[in-house]
Amino acid sequence: MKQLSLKVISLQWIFAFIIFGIFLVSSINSTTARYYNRSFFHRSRAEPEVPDREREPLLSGGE
Amino acid sequence: MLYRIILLVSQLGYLRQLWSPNAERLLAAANVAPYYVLNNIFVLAFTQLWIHSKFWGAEIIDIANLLSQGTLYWKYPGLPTAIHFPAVAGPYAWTISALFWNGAVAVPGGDNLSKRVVANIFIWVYFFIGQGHIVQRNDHQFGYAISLLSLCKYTYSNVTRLLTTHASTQLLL
Repeated sequence: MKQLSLKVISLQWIFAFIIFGIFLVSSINSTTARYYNRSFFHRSRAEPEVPDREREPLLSGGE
Repeated sequence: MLYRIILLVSQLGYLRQLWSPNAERLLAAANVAPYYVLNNIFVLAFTQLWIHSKFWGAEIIDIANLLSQGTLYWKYPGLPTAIHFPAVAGPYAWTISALFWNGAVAVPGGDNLSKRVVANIFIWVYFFIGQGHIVQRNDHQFGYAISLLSLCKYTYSNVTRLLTTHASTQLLL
């Protein structure tokens, strides 16, 4: 019985390994997300507004 | 140990940034420099206390280091990789894992049941802190650092545990 409880409570080592795995997987996820210029949850980042060149005044004053 | 070697090699790259011809990079590297020096002093003090088995002293030094590293980490987002990993994310990840690692050693009483229960809780605290940083800042460099640290500490402690518990392998020690 004591051996069994020691075994159960030794779960921390398995947890530690699982945690290592989750860290690694989420880092790889983060790398791919960054590569595609997206957030951690793969939502696209708001693109900066590009001013529409078609609507620019033809004469923009002395240059 | 493996982690230390990787970190030291990458820090050579960081030091090179201090002579960068790019003014923006130079400014970023110089902003981080005081924290980098402070971190080296803290790590030196930590190691000295550790090898003399003064674990609570080492824990206090580590908390001080954590405060300085945490400030640095949240103060300068979007640093280039050559600065962020060696001088910010790498040491910060090391400080966080050392906090829990050293804390487990500092608590007296060897390997008993109550300590194991507490360890089961704290390993998840460690997880949430690490995962929080990865998600919040989408920081893969910090992520790789902390996952390598977790694997190193896991392997190290299991190897020492097996060597000390199995009579047949005790001759090796």
